[in-house]
Amino acid sequence: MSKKELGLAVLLVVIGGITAVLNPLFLSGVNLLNMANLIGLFGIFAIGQGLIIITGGIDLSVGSMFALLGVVLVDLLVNFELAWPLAVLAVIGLGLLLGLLHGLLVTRIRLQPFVVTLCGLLIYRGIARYYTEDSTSGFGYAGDIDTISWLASGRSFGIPHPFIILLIVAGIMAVVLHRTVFGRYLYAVGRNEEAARHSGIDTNKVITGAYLLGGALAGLSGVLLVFYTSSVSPSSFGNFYELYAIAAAVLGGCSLRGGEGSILGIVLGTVLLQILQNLVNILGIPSSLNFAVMGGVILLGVIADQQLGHRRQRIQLSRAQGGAAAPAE
Amino acid sequence: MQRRTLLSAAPAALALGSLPRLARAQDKKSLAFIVNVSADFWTICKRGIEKANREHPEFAMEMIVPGQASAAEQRRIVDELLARRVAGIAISPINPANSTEMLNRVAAQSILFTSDSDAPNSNRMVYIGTDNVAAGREAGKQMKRALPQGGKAMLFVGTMDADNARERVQGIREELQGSEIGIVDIRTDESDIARAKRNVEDVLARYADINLLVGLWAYNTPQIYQAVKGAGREGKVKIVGFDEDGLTLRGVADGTIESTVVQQPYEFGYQSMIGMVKVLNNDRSFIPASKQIIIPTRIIDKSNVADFQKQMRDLLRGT
Repeated sequence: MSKKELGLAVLLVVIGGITAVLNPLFLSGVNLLNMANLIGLFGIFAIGQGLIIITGGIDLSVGSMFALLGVVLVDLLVNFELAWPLAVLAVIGLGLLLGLLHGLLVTRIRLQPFVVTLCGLLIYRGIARYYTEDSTSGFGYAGDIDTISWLASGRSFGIPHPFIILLIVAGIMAVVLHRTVFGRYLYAVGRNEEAARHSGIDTNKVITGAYLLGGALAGLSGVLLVFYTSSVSPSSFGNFYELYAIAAAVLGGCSLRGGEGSILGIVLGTVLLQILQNLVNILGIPSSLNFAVMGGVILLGVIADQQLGHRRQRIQLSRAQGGAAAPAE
Repeated sequence: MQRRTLLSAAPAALALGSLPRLARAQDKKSLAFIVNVSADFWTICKRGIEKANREHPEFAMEMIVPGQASAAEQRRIVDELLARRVAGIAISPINPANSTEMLNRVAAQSILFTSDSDAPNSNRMVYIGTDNVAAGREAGKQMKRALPQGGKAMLFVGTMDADNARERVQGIREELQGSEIGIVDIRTDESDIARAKRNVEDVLARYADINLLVGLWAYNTPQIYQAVKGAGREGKVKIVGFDEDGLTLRGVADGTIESTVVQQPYEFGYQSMIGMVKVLNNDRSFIPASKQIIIPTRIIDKSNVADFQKQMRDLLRGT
């Protein structure tokens, strides 16, 4: 655990502790499991977002992708009555495809990721709304979706499945990012793409790979989110969710300039965001203050991190100077 | 539910498909119905508009859904319609109190009806829709029926800055005055469905003694239904809702939801369009002195839910 992650973990414990003192129900089993479920839902695509941010990119289209993938999934299951494994695969495949498209536009045509995915945000939302003629899609009149519904939103041994899926995804992605050559390349490309290319890394492939993973993880979370709400209104489903993912990644130590971040950090960032939303309800803070509380705590956290970072640097600097001065005597 | 096939969703088909429609629309007088946000509610309204159009094929009638549920987006749509010299506009204004100037501009250049949400300060010709305070009182009656001994209730809604939310709450409070039912709080979710569900889950986790949950907007009630089922608190926690989401009706049918107060959007669409056609034919006799045509709400409970479910399914499928 790096210092950044440790700091975040301390912040989590402090905020959790204060909330628990003010209302012990915060630590009740029901509440913790509800939160675990939401952490699972929001953590999976935050990891995808984090990988893209590490390469120095960004994905603003995630929320709109949920709307599009969501209505396609409901349509496949309810109206085309496709077997659920095929429907789920099709949706994750569509996520991959959109990721590939972003990756190619960024690497081959050399468009800026912000622009590419901003267009995605607009296009996918528009297609989702046109496709459904602006009506809400849902499982209200659906028949047999019990198996997939249980897999995506049920619980085993009391643990919500989205949380279990997040643990698996985080485990795999932690190995990919921190233990493989591809992972090293992701950081290298994020730090300095030019330098990475000159040292023989196929930067285009690496960046496209990050967008592919981001797309697939968005597809997976899309499926889980649809089963969480059981209905998708194409104009509002997933609105702003890309910002939750970006916030989680940044809180977790990813730099928007690229080249920094870790899976553990991103997951902890997601946990913090979910705790912040939960404590508003648990402490009975007016719902209208929800976003303000979230923004306030994130800002404080980032400022504290920055200040501590400066202090560490100063201490290291003075130590180094002290060390350099010593032999001269 | 009627929807386009996968193929025709392709952008190319989109462009081709909309060209002839636009060309036709220019020959005929056009009437537009501008809604506030996309919802099944408005799909049903659209069926009413379609019925009116079948009866009056000499008009081009359309329903327009803003991309964002914002007053600014509605203003943009209105400006474009006026530029196209539309003959009449029915609108569900998102922020009626502060849209008077825009609405009056419409009223000066074409026929203006309000629907679903009224703007009494504007020069609108007539309002056709629900009286939301009365709808709130109806919900209040259902709450008292669900909790004859009294108890604690929590309300859920998208945002409280919408007039229909405020009016429904006002109606509920009026009806509950002097009863033993207390409203603990109102939780908002800013139209984020996942947050709507988490709000319910958090309330169930925090208040062991909550007796009644009320969903004020169409998507709130199904999320309450699912969260209550997920927590295994069916029967112990009563639910009263608004509107006719598929899951809401399923909940009414299986007894988890006490009842739901439904509006009649089909009539909003149909009567608005027919009314505008009448005005264009110089017949204003249908407009009452109050300038409000109130379409009453209905209560759907276990006794009539089966019929209503079938009716809704047919309407949404467009048959």
